[in-house]
Amino acid sequence: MEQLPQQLVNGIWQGAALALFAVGYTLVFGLLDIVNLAHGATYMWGAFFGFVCVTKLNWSLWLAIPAAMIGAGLLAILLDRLAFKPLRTLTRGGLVLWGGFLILLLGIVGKWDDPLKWTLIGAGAIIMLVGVVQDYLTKVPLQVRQVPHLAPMIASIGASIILISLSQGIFGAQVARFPPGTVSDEPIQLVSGAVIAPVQLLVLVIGVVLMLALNFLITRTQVGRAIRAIAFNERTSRLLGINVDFVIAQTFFLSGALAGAAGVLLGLAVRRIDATMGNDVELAGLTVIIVGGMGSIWGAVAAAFLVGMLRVLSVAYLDSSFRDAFVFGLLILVLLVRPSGLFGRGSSTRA
Amino acid sequence: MPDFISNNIATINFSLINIALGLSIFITLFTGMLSLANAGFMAIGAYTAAVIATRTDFPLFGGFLLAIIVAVVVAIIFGLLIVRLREIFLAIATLGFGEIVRIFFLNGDKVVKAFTGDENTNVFNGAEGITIKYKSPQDILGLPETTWPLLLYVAVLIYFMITLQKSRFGRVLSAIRLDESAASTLGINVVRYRLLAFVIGAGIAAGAGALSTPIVRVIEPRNYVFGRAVDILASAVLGGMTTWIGPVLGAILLTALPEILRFLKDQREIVNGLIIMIAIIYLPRGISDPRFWSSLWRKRKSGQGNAAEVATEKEKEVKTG
Repeated sequence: MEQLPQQLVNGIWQGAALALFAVGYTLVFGLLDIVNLAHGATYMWGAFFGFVCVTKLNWSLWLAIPAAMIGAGLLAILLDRLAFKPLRTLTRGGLVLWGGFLILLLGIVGKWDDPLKWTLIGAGAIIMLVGVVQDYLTKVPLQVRQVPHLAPMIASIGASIILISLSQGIFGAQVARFPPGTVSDEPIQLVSGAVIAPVQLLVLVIGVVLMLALNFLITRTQVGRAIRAIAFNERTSRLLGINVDFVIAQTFFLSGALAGAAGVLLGLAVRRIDATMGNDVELAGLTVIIVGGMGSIWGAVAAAFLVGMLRVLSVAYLDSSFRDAFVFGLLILVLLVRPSGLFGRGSSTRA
Repeated sequence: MPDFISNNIATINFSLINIALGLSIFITLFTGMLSLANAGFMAIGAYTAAVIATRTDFPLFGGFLLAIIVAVVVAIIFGLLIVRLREIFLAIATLGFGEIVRIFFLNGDKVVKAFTGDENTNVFNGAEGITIKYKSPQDILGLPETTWPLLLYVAVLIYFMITLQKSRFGRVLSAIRLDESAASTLGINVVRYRLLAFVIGAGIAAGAGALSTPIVRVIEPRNYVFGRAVDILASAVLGGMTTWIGPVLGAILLTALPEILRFLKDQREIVNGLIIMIAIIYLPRGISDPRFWSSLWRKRKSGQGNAAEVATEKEKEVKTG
């Protein structure tokens, strides 16, 4: 039992990282009822963005984290436009975007000589940009669609496959690590025999700051009000003049940015960045948003700390190999007792 | 033809396994339940059959029956707990079940040792899994003997699905999917039928798992991860969930795609993902969507616009899952 303070510290910082990941999940779910299975891939790309900024561009970590957040956020918007938007409304711009995307992929993937490769990539990127603008300016879509519940989830599986194999192609299959000394290794002594590494403290602090910022954004700003209005009732919000499409893009940006921050921070803390790192967090994130109540942000945060703590404590005091079994046991138990999650309040009060 | 079969025997075998798995998730989707436990039940079936095959002299058929019985018992117990959950909550609970099953097989020997007190028993072999001795399969009528039981199993399943959609039982399940409260007003015991559909799906998946053992040969927990459950779902949704043809088509397509795209080498995964995305965006109700094919047929005959169809499409919208 003398280990307890140390285990609590470990549980808290892991919980903070998990919360960053899961809140993005729950934002998108609260708004659109989509389980975005490519969220783990966005998280992984966020980690790689940060990694490239630190190693190739020699930026400091303080610059790399925001850069990775912006990169991952933009990636999430692109993901929405390519995978989810065509399933809501089909526009000409959307088709142009897809065409540009195919050319871009052809450029990245094919074994072309140098000028041709970059021409293809550049042309693809420009066409995609045109597509996004045209899509945004469209007043009359080609088709407003009602698709089965599961179709967006399958589209996100396809997107996730593409994102993961792209990163394998670009960064290779081996594990990448941040150079040692990015954050100092000297552990900080806390009270009563518990230590925390600076990188873990960093995860905790940034996690908490971002959560508070998000809370401010959701509750106090115009964007947040719009997000909540759409989550409450999309049709009415549209009638009241909210630009639903733009708000959805903003939400995806937020969700991706948080996932990107989580990717860099966890990549730093566990010293491991590779193409499949999203898969491990994916399941834990799903558990967190269910236990917290789908669509509830603070529920997700609280559940993330709970799950992080449970994982750490089950390793310390029970059997480490059954760690995830305990987490899923908790999940099923919560669902049986409170099917809408610990903090969920039914479907009408999301986000 | 024999050349084609012997060259692609692995693809054919895995297609058949995936068809059976696709049909196992189809029956729950047909009842309006999104269950992701099928990878877990497949693992239960495969491990049961593998333990029987390596430790006793029972023929494959004995292991097959026992695998289904074990899975059905587990499914009844677990199903009683979770069958009242809805939509995404059911999906995640069943996903959790699948992971618990996998973790159990990964570390099950510790439990066995704790119970028997014997330190040397290794039933599940942890992450290494159970390896079944390789016997080169004999050809019977042009197909290896390991393929025949699978083919027979899939044929029986398809027959079952065809009769299901015409029978009272099938209509009850369909009614539950379309409107649960209306169904229960008509005196249908919704919970019991949902449980029944869940258990049947579990049995089908376990059977597929058991029959897959001689083909996979190494039964390891890695085969039954989260991704496996998602693959099963993807084949059913990609193919379409209106009729049994959907999961069959989807399973064949998703199994064959990596093989067909082999000439692309490193890029095939990307193309694979692209095809999944484009297919689901273009045909959100799956490749076998009867409305799409009938509209194609009608267009060719009369060549007129489909304004009326778009209208009925919205009315007919059925939430699946």
